[in-house]
Amino acid sequence: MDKSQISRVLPASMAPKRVEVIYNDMPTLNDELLIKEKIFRQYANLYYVRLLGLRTSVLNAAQKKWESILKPNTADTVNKILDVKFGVTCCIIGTVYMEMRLKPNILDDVTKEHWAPPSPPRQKYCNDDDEFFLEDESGRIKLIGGILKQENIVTGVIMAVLGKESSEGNFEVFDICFAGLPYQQPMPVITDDKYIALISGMNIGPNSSPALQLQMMTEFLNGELGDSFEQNLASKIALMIVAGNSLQEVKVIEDDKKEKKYGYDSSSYNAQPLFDLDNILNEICSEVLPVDLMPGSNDPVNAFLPQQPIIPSLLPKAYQNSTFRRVTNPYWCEIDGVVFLGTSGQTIDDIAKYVESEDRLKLTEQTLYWRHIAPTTPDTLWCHPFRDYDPFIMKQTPHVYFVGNQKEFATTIIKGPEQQSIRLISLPSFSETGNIVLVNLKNLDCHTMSFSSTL
Amino acid sequence: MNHLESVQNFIYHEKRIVTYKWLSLRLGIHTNHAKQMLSEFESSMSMAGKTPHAIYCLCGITKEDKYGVLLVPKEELEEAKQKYKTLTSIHIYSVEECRPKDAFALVITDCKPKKVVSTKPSNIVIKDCKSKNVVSTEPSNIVIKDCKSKNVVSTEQSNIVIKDFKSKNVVSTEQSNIVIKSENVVSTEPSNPSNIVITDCKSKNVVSTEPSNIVITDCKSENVVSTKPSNMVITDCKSKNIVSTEPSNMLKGIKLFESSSAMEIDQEQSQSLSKKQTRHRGRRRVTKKRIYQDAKGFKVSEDTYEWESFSEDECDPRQTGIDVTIKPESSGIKNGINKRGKRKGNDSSQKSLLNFFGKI
Repeated sequence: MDKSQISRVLPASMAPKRVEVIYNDMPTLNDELLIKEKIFRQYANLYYVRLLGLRTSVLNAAQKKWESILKPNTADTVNKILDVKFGVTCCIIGTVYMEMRLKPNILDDVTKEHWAPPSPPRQKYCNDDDEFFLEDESGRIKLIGGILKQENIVTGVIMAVLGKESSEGNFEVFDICFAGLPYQQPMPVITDDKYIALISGMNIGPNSSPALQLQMMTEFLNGELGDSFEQNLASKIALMIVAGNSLQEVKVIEDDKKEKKYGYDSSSYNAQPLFDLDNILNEICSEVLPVDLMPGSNDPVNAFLPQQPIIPSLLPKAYQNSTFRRVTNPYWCEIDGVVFLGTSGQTIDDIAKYVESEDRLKLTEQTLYWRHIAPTTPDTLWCHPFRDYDPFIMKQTPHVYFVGNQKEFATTIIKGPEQQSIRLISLPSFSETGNIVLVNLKNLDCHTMSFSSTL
Repeated sequence: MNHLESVQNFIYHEKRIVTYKWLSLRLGIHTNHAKQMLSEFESSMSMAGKTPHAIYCLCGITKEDKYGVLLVPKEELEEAKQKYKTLTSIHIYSVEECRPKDAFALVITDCKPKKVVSTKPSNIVIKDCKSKNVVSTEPSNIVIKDCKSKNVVSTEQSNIVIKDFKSKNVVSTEQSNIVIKSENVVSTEPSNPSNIVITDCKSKNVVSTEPSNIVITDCKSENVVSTKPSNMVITDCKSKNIVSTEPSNMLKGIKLFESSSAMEIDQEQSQSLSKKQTRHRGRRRVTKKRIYQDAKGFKVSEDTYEWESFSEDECDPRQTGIDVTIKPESSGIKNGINKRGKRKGNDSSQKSLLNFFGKI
C-alpha cells in the first residue's frame, strides 16, 4: 500500500485538546463511606447516632418555623417524648417509624407453610391503614393527623412535630418540620464550557444487547464520531461518572442435574460481560477521559449500602490507567469547585415503596429536606451497622445531585432558603434508552445525548 | 488509488463490514481520514456502477429538541434526515457489500487499538509509561525509560534506546540500532544489518533473522537465535540456547553454560572460533525412557531413541561402550517428542516397520 498517498495525522495543533478539571475527592465525606471494619453488630446504634446528628438541626429549623407559636410560651419543646403532658401543645423531635402491614416481615416468612410458594415482592408497601410513630431514646408515641399522609414521610426520617397529646394517648399532629437544606458552598465562577458526562445502567450482559450503542458512545467520547462539532463537544467533556449497574443482573437458572460445588454450578458463570466492560472502560480511560465507576445493585460488590468500590482485579485493563477511579455508592466529589452527590438509585427506589407517589424527582428533593440520603436504611434497605456516625447524613448541600437507573430522564433546579441552588438529575438506564446526560459546569445546564440505530 | 483497492479488498474479498474505526485501526490512520477514504470509495464505486451498501451516522438536534446520534442504512437516510431539526454532521459509518443483519455486526471485536502512533520522523522520549503499544512507522529516535510497554514496533530506520523496562515485544523490521534491557527482543526482517547491543537484560528471546551484529553482555538470555551471518559477542551470559544456523563468528566469554543447558550447533556449518582447538561436537543417538499413562490407566515406559548433541567435555560413549541414557530434559528449541499427547493404548501394535529388523 502506498503510504504517501494517504495524508498523515492531523497536526496536533489543529486537533482539539480535552479540557481538564480539578478533582477533589472530598475525603471528609467519602472517607465515612468506606467500611473499614468487618464487625457486625446491632443496628440500634445507627438510629441513635442519626438522631444525635440531626437533632440540633431539626430543633433549629423547628424553632424558626414555629417561632410565633413557641416563643409566647404557649408551646414548649419537650426533650423526651415520654415527658409529653396531656393537653399541652408542644414540639417533640424523634425518628419516624411507620407500621406497615404490607412491609415484608421476617417473622411471616418463618411462620408460613413451607409448601406455599413465596409471594412476589411487592411494589409498594404503603397502605391506607399505615400507622406512624415517633420514637426517641426514651420511648415512642403514636401520631395521628391528616397532615401525615399529605407529606412524604418514611421510616427513619428525623423530624419535629408540633401538636398535643390526645385522650387516647396519641399525639395529634398540627404541623411537622424537617432539618431542611444544609449549608452549600458558593458556586464557583467557571468561564468555559466544561461538561461532565453521566451514564448509568449500561447493563452489559452475555448477549451484548447494547453493544453497538456502547461502541457509538465510546467513539463519541474519544472524539472519533462525527464532524468538528461533535469532536469539539467531546473535547469539552472533562469527566465521566458511571452511576451503577454496569453489568446486567445475573439470573441463575437452577439446574438440579448439574453437579454443584459449594452450592453453585461454576460452569454456568460467564465472564464475558466483565471483559467487555473492562475493554470499554480501558478504551475510554486511555483517551485521557477520567472515569469514576460507581457500583450498583447488579454489580459484583457488596449488596448493602454504602457499596464499596469494585475490586481492581475484576477490571485489570482499566485499572492500569491512572484516569480510572473506583468509587463508592453513594458518591461525593468536587469537580472544579462544584460539589456532586450521586447514588445508583437503590435509595430512591426504596423510598418510593413507602409512598404512593411515583415522582422520583420529588422524592429526591425530599431527601434534601430530610438532610439524609437513605433514611430507610437499615429497615428495608440493607446497610452496614455503623456505630459512631451515620455517613448518609448530608453535611452539606451538593450543587448537583444525580440518581442513577431510573425509568426516564428528568431534571429540575431546587432553590433553598439560604440561596442554595441544586440541580437534581434522574438518570435513565442506558441499555433501555441509549441516553447519556451532559452537565455543564458553567451554569449547571443539563441535556441528554442519545445513541441509537435503526438496524 | 491503492488505498481504495485495499478497502475494496476488505469488503469484497474478505467480506468484511468496514467501519471507519476498523479501517483507522487497521491502517494506522486518523479516523477523519478513514471517514474520507470510505466516502471516496463509496462515491467511486457508485460511479463505476457497483453499489456497496453504506451506513451513515447522523448527529444533530431532533425535532423533539433532543441531541441525538443515529445510525441509518443508506436507504433510510433521507427519511432519517427529516427527523432532525438541525443536523450538525453526517458521515459514513461503514461500508459493506450488503446490509448487515443486525446491529451487533457493526461492533468491532478483532482489532485492538494502538496507543502511541507516530507516522513522521520524530524524536520520542517516553518515560514511565505503561503504554501498551508504541508504534513508529518512520525514522525516529525513541528513548524509552522505565516503561512497561508491551509492544514497541518500529517499521523503519530508528534508533531505539530502551532502559529498565519490561517490554514484552520489541520488533524492529528495518534498520535499527537497538540498545535494550528487555524481555523479548525480536528483530524479524531487517533488510539491512542491524546492530543490537543488549546489556543487563533478562531477555527471553533475542531473534535476529538477518545479518546483525549482536553484542550481549550480562544477560540471562534464554534463547538467542540468529539465522544469518552475524557477529555475536557474548560475555558473561547464562544463555540457555544460542542457535546460529548460518556461518557466524562467535566469541564467548567465561562461564557460558549452566550445567543443564546444551548448546546445539550444526556441525557442518559452524565455524566457531575459540581459544582452544576446534571443539569436538557431534550428535549421537541416545536412549531415553519415556513414561506415560495409556488410556487404560496403566503406566507404560518405553525406550525411544533420539539424536542429541554432546560436547567434547563429555566422554565419547562409543569409546567407552557405555550406553549413555539421559533423562529427558529438553532444550527449548526442538522437540516434537514431548509434545505428543497420549497414545492410544494398544501395546501390541507395531510402531514402525524398522522394529522388525531389530534394534539398530
